[in-house]
Formats: sequence, C-alpha cells, structure tokens
Amino acid sequence: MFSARLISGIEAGRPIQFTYQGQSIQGFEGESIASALMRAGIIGVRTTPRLQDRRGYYCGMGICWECSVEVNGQGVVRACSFPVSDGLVVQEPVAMTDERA
Amino acid sequence: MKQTYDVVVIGGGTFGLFACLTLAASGKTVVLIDRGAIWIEASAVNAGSLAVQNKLPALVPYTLWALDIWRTLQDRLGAQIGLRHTGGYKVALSEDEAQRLEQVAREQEEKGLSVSRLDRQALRTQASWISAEVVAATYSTQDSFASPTRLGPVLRIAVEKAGVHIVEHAEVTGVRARDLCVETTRGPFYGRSIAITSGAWSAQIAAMLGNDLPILLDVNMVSVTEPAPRTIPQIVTHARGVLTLKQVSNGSCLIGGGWQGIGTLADRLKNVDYDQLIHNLRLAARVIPGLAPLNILRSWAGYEGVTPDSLPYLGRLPGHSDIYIAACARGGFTLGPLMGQLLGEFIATGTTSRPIDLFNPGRFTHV
Repeated sequence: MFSARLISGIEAGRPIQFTYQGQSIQGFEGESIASALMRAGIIGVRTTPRLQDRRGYYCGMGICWECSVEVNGQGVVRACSFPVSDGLVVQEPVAMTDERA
Repeated sequence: MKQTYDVVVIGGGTFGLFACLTLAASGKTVVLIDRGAIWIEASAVNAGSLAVQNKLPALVPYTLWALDIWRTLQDRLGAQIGLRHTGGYKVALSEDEAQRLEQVAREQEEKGLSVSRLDRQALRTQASWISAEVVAATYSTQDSFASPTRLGPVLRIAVEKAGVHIVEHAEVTGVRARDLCVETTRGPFYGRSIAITSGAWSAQIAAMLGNDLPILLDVNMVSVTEPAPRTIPQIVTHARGVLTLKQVSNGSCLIGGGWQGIGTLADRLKNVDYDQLIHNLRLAARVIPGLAPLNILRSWAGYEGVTPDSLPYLGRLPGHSDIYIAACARGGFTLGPLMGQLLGEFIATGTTSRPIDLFNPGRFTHV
C-alpha cells in the first residue's frame, strides 16, 4: 500500500526550459539539474583537468562534487542538489590546469 | 621465538618515519608499530604549511635546518611531494597586530631569519590579491608548503625499502622498562631501545612507564576550496597565528589557522565546529577577498599534541636510559624531518648534529 502510493504519487512539476552548453533542455519544477540532464541523456557534465575524464552524477547527495557545473551568476554548484529554473544557463565549469599535468 | 630489534619505534607519523630512516641508515634493526594505519593522524591531515614566520623564535633555527632537509627530500625519496618553495606573507589587519608582527619579526631576525617589511602601499603593488584591509605584512623567502597526502605514501615506501618492519593496527597496551618490551594487541615487541613518537598519544605511552609528560590536545580544523584560477603564488600566515592559506597544485586553496574543532583522545572524535569554522573562513576571505565566491569542498579536524611551552619533546624519557621520545612540535609537519633525524642520531650514536637541550623531555618534571 505504502509503496504503491510512492510510485503513483510522483507528479512532475511545471515544465521548465534551461540550457546546458547552449543546448536547450527541458526540466520540471522541483527537479535538480543533474536529473534533467540525465533524462536528456547527458551523463558526463564536466571534464577533469589532469586526465580529461568525463565526470557526472555520482553520490547524488552533495558530498563528492563530481557533478560540479557552472551556473550563470552563481558560480560552481552541484548539479545533484541545485534546482532547475526557467532560463537557467548551465555550463561545464572552467577546468583548471593542473601544475602536475 | 623472541626477536629483539635494536629499536622499537611507537608511532608512524612524520617523527617516527624519519627516525626510522636515520636509524636504518646507521645499520639498526627497527620495528615501527602503530595503533592504526601509519600516516593517518596529525602528519596526514595538517594543512602542509612549511612556514618559518609562524614559528616560535626559538624554533626558527630548527625550522631553517628542517627546510634544508625538505629541499633534499624530493631527490632522496625519488617522488613528488608537492614541495613549493614559494616565500610567504605574514599579515596584520590592525595596528595592534602590526606591532605584534614587528616584535616577532625582530625576535625571529635575532634567531637568523631575514624578513622584509611591507606597508599597505607596498603590499598593494607587490601582491594585489591581498586585501587593502591588511595594514602591514612581513615577507620571508623561506616560507614554503608541501603535500602531507603525497609525502606519506612516498615516505612509507622509503622506510620499507630501508628494511624497517612496519606493524600496523598494533595498539600498545603496556611498556616494560625492565626488559624493554612493548606489549601490543598484536603481541610483544622487544628492543634494545624504545622510541616514543606517538604525537598527542605520547603522554599515554609515557604514563605506562610511570612518567608524567604534560601534553595538551588541540583539534585543528582545515578546509579546502574548489579549484580556482591560479591567483595566490605565496603562502599566507597571520600575525596572531590564526590563519594559514595556500593555493595548491590543482588550484584548490587550503585554509587553516588552528581554529578548534570538537573531540578528545578518549572519545576519539575530531569533528568540525561550524561556529568556529565560520570565523576561520571569514578571516580568510577578509585577507584574500577573491576567496569569497569559492565553495568549500570539505572541512576536517585533526589532533595536535601541545606541550606547555609549545616546544617539542626530544631526548631520553626522564629516568630511563634506553627509552627516548620525540613528539609534539608546534609546526610538527615542518620540523618532522629534522626532529626524526635528530632522534635517530641520538639513539644510534648518543649525540645529535644539532643541539637538543631546549627540548629536554624532563623540563616540566618537578622533583
């Protein structure tokens, strides 16, 4: 009974349009950036500075910072815990060059 | 079968590991035991400052000698340890702090450090990333930093290569002076000498031998920011000792300054105290305004053992001819390579290449 309510009880919020790397993405009100990007098939959201690996949503709870993205006017945020909003401009964070590279 | 080592070293932090290197180089058989894994406490979790300007004047010569060793380490150990010989600013935000800055600079100069003095204008010209709120600063070309995270594994390999037997997760349950036996949860270890390099835990080990060795506990907090454009070329310290800051190789900034977290050796906690941390971070952003928009990725806390006069213990444990101690320097990461080496020399030869009288472990023993 309880689990049935959980499944049927989730309703998407109002549709929202935002951009990631200039690409228009649809999300829903109350959803995180990472969630909307995953639904759009975007798994890697940034590139590591030293090994040029793609990284994205990993711990999903704001600890690991793997899903860091840059939001216009906000600086670097965690895509897993930052909500989408209309007109939000999301980009890969500027990858710092590593002196060890 | 009972094996007897020349030296049983208790504690695998920087003092213990460097002591092992010196002892092994002089042909001694050594076992290094640790209550947990080695290199996980103060040696590993400190902020990596190798600053001279934030040391007690009495420790200035030792810090300079230690830095001579640091400069050889990358070659000696054959690996990168994040050593950056950058020079550093020590800053004052008020006239009171500026007076203190000047007074300590004079005392440090008497002990052989040369510093240059900058007023607000000079500092604006030379380091525009430092706030105009900073009224005065001193600069030393000696101030440096290195990576505790990188040094640990590299040092471990060197110690193993030198033939030292490392035994981890062996908590000391008793020490017998009579037959120089260290009893642990992984059995007894016998030595011809015993070296206590147990940092904040050294008082507990000394107590097992009937010695009252005063050690207070600090729980120092450190924070790391997200990577940022390379802006801060030098290490920054503070006239009142309440801030250390450096930008490391990946662009992250490490923020320390001895702000206190929560915990004791008994409860084994070392938690971040956010009410204190906020002052640490605000001060950092006040000195370097460019830090303000950066995210803090993580904050943590670690134990530091502190003696009543903030000078380390180094020498024979009072009343024991074959039991030695080296522990608890304010700035132990900086001094570790030297303190460990001196302890090793003292055990191996009975003499040291630098004077150690200041650090007599019996100086607080009242009879």
